[in-house]
Amino acid sequence: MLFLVPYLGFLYWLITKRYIPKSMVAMQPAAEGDASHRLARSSFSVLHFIHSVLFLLVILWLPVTIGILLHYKGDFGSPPNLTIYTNLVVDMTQIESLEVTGIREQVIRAKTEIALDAPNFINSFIFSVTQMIKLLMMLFVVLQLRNILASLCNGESFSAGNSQRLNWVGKVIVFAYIIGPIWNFFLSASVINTVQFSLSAITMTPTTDGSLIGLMVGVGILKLSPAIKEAEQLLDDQRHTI
Amino acid sequence: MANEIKKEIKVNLDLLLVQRKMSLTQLSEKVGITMANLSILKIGKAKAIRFSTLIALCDVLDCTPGDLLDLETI
Repeated sequence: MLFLVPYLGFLYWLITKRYIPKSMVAMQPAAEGDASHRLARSSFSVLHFIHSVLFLLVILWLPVTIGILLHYKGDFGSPPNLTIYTNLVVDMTQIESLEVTGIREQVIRAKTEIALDAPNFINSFIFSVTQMIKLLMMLFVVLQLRNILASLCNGESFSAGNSQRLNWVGKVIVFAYIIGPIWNFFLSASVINTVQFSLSAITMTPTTDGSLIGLMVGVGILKLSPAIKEAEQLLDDQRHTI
Repeated sequence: MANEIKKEIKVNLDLLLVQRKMSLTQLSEKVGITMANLSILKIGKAKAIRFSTLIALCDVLDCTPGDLLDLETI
């Protein structure tokens, strides 16, 4: 429990001196009777709440993980073992004692198989770390969307900052939708212990859980970012035209 | 690599105001442009100037656009 004291001190410094002043855009309160941006203000409140919950989960992850590690009484077991079998071809016609004339497929082509044998504790730890990385990406995206809404309500929708924020959101979404399926594949593989690539039909076990729509949304956001930058430059030109 | 010569438009508002013995506030009132916008013009932060603004400034300062604007090499 002693490690919690410097951790809490570090968190206090991080949140008050770095995170809030540098990463979070403050929203100016609406003037009395001002009903503009009502939807944006409501969405901002929702995102702000989600951001707070995610941030709390991120803060809790480290002490909880260390706590579990310190109090784990069982055997940690051996490190993960990786075995690969590939390109196994059995030509049955070559086996003299075997009558295969009536069989349609006389050559057996085995699937490529990777066996990942990891102790359960390491599996859980890997799972926890990957979930944490996912959580961090989600926190980042929610924070950027929250900041975009805050600047929208402050009357600075077309700004270089928003263009950069959208760019980062797009990059993170594209990254998540490219890496995510591969990630899921091997993460599930570490639990069920076997990975199979069947080259003839290109099927993968376990399933990869990919989404093309998600990827397209990410690319769309990336394309939107230069448009915001262009609008910001136009606005700046207009502002400096006397 | 040859050095690229950069040029910019300079607004001679300072000089004309001194010559006409006029303050920026007076000019602002006569032309109908805010002090903030005139300051932008004066310090060279303006990116463009409307013809209507140019005409109004030339009218009040009794000058031509050539007197007001100058092309300078940086």
